Amino acid sequence: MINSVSHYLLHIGVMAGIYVLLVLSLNLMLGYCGLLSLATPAFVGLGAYASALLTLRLGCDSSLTLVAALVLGAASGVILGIPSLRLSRHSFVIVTLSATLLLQLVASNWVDLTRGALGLADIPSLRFGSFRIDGKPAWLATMVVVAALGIGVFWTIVSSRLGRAMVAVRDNEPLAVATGIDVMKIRLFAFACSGAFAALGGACYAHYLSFIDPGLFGFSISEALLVMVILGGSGTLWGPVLGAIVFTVLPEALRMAPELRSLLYGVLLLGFVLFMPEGLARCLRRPVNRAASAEAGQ
Amino acid sequence: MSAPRPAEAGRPPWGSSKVAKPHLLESCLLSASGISKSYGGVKALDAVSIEVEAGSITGLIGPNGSGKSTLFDCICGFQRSDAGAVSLAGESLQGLSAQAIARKGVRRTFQQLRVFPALSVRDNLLTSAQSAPGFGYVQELLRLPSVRAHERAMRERAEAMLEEIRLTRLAQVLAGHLSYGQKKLLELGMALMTEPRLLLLDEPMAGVNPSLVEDLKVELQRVNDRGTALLIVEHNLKLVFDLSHQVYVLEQGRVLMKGTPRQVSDDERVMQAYLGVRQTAGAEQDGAID
Repeated sequence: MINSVSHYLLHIGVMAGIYVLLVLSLNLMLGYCGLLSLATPAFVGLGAYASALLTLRLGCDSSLTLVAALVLGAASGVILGIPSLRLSRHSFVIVTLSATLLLQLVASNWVDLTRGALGLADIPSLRFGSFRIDGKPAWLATMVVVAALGIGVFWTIVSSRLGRAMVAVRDNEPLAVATGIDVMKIRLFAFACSGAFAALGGACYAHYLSFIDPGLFGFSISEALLVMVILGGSGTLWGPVLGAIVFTVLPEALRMAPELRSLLYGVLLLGFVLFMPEGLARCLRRPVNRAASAEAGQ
Repeated sequence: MSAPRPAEAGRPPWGSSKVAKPHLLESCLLSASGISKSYGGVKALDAVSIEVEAGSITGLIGPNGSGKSTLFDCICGFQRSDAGAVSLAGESLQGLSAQAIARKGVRRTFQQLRVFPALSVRDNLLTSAQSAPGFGYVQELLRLPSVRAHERAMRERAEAMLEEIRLTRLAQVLAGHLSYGQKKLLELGMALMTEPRLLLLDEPMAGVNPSLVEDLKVELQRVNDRGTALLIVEHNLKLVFDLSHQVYVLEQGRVLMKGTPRQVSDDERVMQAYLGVRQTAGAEQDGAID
């Protein structure tokens, strides 16, 4: 019993780690670029299928398949970004959603490659040379490392001139242009990074659960991610990360009251929206900003 | 216009022969010729030609709707003109994107005050130095020594700029929290971060507290003394006449006249178009006209 409980807790930990990667993907677009991208599930699915197929069909080492997923995610970010990032913000949402649904159709119908709705089963766990990641404790350790690396790369991006440029474009595009920022280039870069983060998350997901199907491209992932990013505090580094953890754990914790689960979750979400509309991160940081504005407003 | 202009002493006199020359002058920094722009049936600009001398201050005045901001947009690449050519120091800016023109050293401010509200004052300044060379994505992420050195240099420059615009104390504060006057100063500081060759100011004094107008004027003069040419759209005529070496008057999308501040302020047509006849001699006394 204790063993199964601890396994369950470890599982939640691993899932939270995967969601941290996906949240970084969405936060970069929504939080820092101000663009609602519904393509995150598309990148997740591409990364998951690419890594799984390379392992299943060609027996590739995970170091290779993960790099392949990263490259594929970044490349598809560029390919999808070139036409869609020129559009208005609203059209961008629709195009990214369409791309995701299109890929879902491909995954469902290209049966020779993806086995369609049957999905890919028995995907081996991650294996680097002779070292295999086996068991939940090892997976948790791996995901902590991978998520920490992801957060590190994310921090490097957003704290650099690139991150400042993204915020600048988000907040005042004409002024950003007047300062010489290439809007299209900086957005493409962000979208490529977004694709890479999500694809890596997808690959980890596939190898961890050992089964994927076209449902991976569904809207439900976007839905969960939006809750995590927005209620965590989009446009901050730690908010969405915190959101990923809280909103992975919370629905699981509510399983204790199965009949009331959905109701309670709904009430909690409403509570967050009402009382922390700017997200967890800003809620915790608010006193600092107040002091700052008081000084500026003298 | 009899007010003395301190910067005029060391500059060539703006004789009428020079003003009348239609072609590029040797020291011409910006040349916009024959710029036309229509919106539907409305001609916002009708073959407008202006020139800005290197290191000079050029005023651009005209009633509301005379096409001043549209001309700015066409020069900076924010709008494509229907006809005409723009060149910077003899190099054509035709077909270049707005950000590419900015990188050539042409900076602008906007009629509506614009800063990046979610960035700190310091980061606003750093972001404005974005167009500096060495801005490569890979180098940036790897934090190569060249990038770090450049970042250090930009931070030093930002500190100096903070000192100059007297916002050092508020360097960490989000720009959105600043007062209007502070934002105005920040906007100017941002435009100067890369030491542009030409700075286009769209109504820099709009909404500015009269006590700050003199400060800003001194600041603009200092900017110009350091070699940045200014093209100023402004309704505060006293300021334009005080600062400018040459003034263009736009009316209904055409250049009504150009000349020295004295020539312009003495011109009957300008007074009719802009000031109203009764104020023929009153530009200095009245100053700001909005």
